[in-house]
Amino acid sequence: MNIQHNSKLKISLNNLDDITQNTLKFFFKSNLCEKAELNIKDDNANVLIIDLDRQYNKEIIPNLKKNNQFVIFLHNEMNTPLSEENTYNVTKPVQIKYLKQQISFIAQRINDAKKSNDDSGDATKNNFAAPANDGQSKPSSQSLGLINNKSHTQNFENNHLNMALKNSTDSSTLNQYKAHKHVGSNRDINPDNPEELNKIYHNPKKYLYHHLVQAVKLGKDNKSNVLIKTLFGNLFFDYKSQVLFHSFDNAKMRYFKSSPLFIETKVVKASLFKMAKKDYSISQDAESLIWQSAISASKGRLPLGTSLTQAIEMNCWPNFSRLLVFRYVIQIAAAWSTHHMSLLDTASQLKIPQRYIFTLYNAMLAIGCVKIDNVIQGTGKINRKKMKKVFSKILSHIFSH
Amino acid sequence: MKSSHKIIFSGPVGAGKTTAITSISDIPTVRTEESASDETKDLKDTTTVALDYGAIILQDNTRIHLYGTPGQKRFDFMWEILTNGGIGLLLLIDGSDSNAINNLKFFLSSFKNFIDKTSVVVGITKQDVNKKYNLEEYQEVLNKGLPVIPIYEIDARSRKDVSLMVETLLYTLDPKISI
Repeated sequence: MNIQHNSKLKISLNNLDDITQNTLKFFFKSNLCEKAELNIKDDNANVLIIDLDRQYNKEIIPNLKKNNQFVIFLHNEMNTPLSEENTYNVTKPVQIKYLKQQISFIAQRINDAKKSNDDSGDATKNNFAAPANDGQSKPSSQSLGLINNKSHTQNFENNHLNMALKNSTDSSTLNQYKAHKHVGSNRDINPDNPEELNKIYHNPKKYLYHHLVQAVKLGKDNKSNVLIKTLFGNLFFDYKSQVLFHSFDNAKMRYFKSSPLFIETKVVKASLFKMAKKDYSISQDAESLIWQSAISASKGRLPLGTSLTQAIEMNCWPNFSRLLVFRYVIQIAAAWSTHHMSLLDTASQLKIPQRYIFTLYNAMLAIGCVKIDNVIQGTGKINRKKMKKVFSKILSHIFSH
Repeated sequence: MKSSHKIIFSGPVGAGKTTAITSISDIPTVRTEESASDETKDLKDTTTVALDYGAIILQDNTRIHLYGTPGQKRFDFMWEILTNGGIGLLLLIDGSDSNAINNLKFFLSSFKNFIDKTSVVVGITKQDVNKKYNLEEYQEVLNKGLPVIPIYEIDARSRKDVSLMVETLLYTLDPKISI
């Protein structure tokens, strides 16, 4: 296959986490990227998108030029990007505008090379015309093993996002997808299958939110300020104002909130807070930061040992008007506020993917609004009101404005 | 003839009922404000003496009536009339009022029959102006156990905040609503 002048680049997605994989599939399947499309056959890809922070087949890199291929590496800000020939980099979390920019550079290079070859009339000099896929220059299927997308594709066909894709690619769909970033991409599990059960739990002690919760509790119990010592810098909890001070910029904080890095974190009383501006220049409302961190850490998972069948005991509504919300949160909280329901009851009764319910539970647990009732089992059924049709219409009206 | 549905906005004088209705109404709000002449005068220049009226007009022209009750306790005889047939109650409390907790208790108690039959969402306004109590202090006033009453800090001028209250009201009435 030779790529035609101005035809679309063939993109192959590799070793990506499910969220990024699905996001990029959405991006390339929609009409949001005119210059590239998803590759169907692996060995024809012009561009491989690879997560530099995960394991990948490093043998590909030296052969990129020979194979007329390019790589776009996705990498964490703290990870040094590669600067090999035919490689480009995009910092995570991936911003579509930067990804499009890199794709444009690659497309431009390919087109320039094609033009130059056309001008010289020598097709054999076409270095960037197409990925080599025959003879000696064809990368072996082994070396391209990491580009096998079949399993991901299968997942994708079944997941929630695909439902949205079928409908449209307008802004409402984009907004709908946007919500998924908060809850991960775990599929519903069968609780009777122990292997699947393992996937839905995380160890809170490894995450920032757990230590923030501990700090607020310690502050409340002792009526004192608290220092949270982490390997990456300290956070300071001011008890009186209920504010957390730190020096992590948005990108770092986003990373810290979602990464299991805080196992060695210590929470200690701090009698005085000598404001060293350079150390603690950023302040955030404690509840809001805990809430966001718990959502980012959960990504559709529950704290280790959480019962799926005991009823949830809700004791207060989160102040949703001032907190980050994602799809279904009001509906789920409303069910818990009016019925003795377990986590599994909630998913089955409301017909909402489990990951939304687990994420909300984790966040509400972190701010102390829910816990598992050890006595009452989930009883399940929700009785419906007669006026449900008009309620639906009112909600549609509200959401459309 | 289309059937009629109504959502009730209540709360003490100056809590933002008129403003909240205006925030989400699809028609110009009908106000029945008059110059304040009693103790209300200390709180604001004009006040609602009968009721406020707005409406959400749905796509099929169904009208959801939005009624704001007068805030003064001497008009409480109107509250029962207004709530008759209502979908539920949005209760607004002025968070800058040092009597806010008592006001919350009073209104929850006054509308108890209606709330028991329907549902209520509480919005604490003016928390950014001069907050007298934290949200936890309001939550402590409420009964323990189910149903857990939703309380939000809101800005009555914000369509988003008032819409959140309506959304919450509807879902507490029926968590299974699908859109």
